[in-house]
Amino acid sequence: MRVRRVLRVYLGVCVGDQPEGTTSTGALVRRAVDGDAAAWDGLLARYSALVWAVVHSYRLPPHDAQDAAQTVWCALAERLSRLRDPERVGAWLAAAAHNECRRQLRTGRRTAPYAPETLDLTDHRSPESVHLAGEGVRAVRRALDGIGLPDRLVAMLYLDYPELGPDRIAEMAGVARAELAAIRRRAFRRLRRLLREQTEPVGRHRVPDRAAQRRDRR
Amino acid sequence: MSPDDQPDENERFVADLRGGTPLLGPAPDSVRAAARAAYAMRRPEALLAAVREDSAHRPPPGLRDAALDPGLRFLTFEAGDWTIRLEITAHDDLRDITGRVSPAGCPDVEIRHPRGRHREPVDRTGAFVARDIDRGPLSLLLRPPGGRPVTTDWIAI
Repeated sequence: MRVRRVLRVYLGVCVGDQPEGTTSTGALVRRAVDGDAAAWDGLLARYSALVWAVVHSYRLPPHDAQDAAQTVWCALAERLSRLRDPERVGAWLAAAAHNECRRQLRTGRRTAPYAPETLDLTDHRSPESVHLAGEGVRAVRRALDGIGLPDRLVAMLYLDYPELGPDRIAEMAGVARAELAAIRRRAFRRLRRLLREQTEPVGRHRVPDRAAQRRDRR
Repeated sequence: MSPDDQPDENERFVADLRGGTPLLGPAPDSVRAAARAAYAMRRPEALLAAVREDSAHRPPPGLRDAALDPGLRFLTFEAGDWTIRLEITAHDDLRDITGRVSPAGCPDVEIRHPRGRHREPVDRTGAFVARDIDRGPLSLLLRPPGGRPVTTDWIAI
């Protein structure tokens, strides 16, 4: 029985349309509290990339970023049985990640933001498709560097995790739900402009787009 | 209203950007490893001492920001009648910890981090020292003789 349940959890969290994929977060937390390590892995599968996205958006040096993400998960492990609302563990993780990153920013001895381009990811696709897709993705990553928080994180979550929906995106980005639409609009407007500027020939004299600058300040 | 403000224009732009390589990959393996290690070490029966003061968030009263050595950090944890004070010194990727547990009476303190744990003796006044601890997540565990264990929140040192 236990083996089957463990297997279901693994399949469930990896494959979205498996019944376990829809297991409520609260149920996963309660099972992890009861010592079910597969449920803890289920929470990791569900949230580790999102927590990493939050941490990554702060552009900390790699070591600081890993310390922050590790600490958030360690803290959750110890707090798990003491959570007031197990269903809202995602909000708890997001708040803890924002908090830890702000502390790292405050105490970090570095002076310039870390260039995240070197913090690249493993990719299991063919070299050709990576090459084809690569320039576009690199350009978007570069453009994301040019916009501040929380806009950068909101845009990134909408691009990588559209299925989350606005409530959870607001939760992960640490912004008020009522302000999300405006932040999203502003973020993608800036992203579009930065991408446009990247592709324009260097050295050409451009008339500053004053209307756009005014809109951005809003 | 410029074309940029048209919602459908923005939606088309967003749709164009989506669907290829993810902008960000999964969390590093070290994060999952730390999460699993902390899960295996958790002590749900213990009293959890939360951070009450942290010079990294707020410098101690009377000390201006500039007066605080960036390599030095003061922390206070509290739970019930327990107070645990830490002074953490950074040197490269290692940390030295000088601590005091109050009330005194625990023979030792367990230093917990994702790669393992070890004990350091606590003296009669409640003081202890732990040297050359790896940077990263840290938590302490106290086992008062005959009493309920006390664990601190995990912090990044």
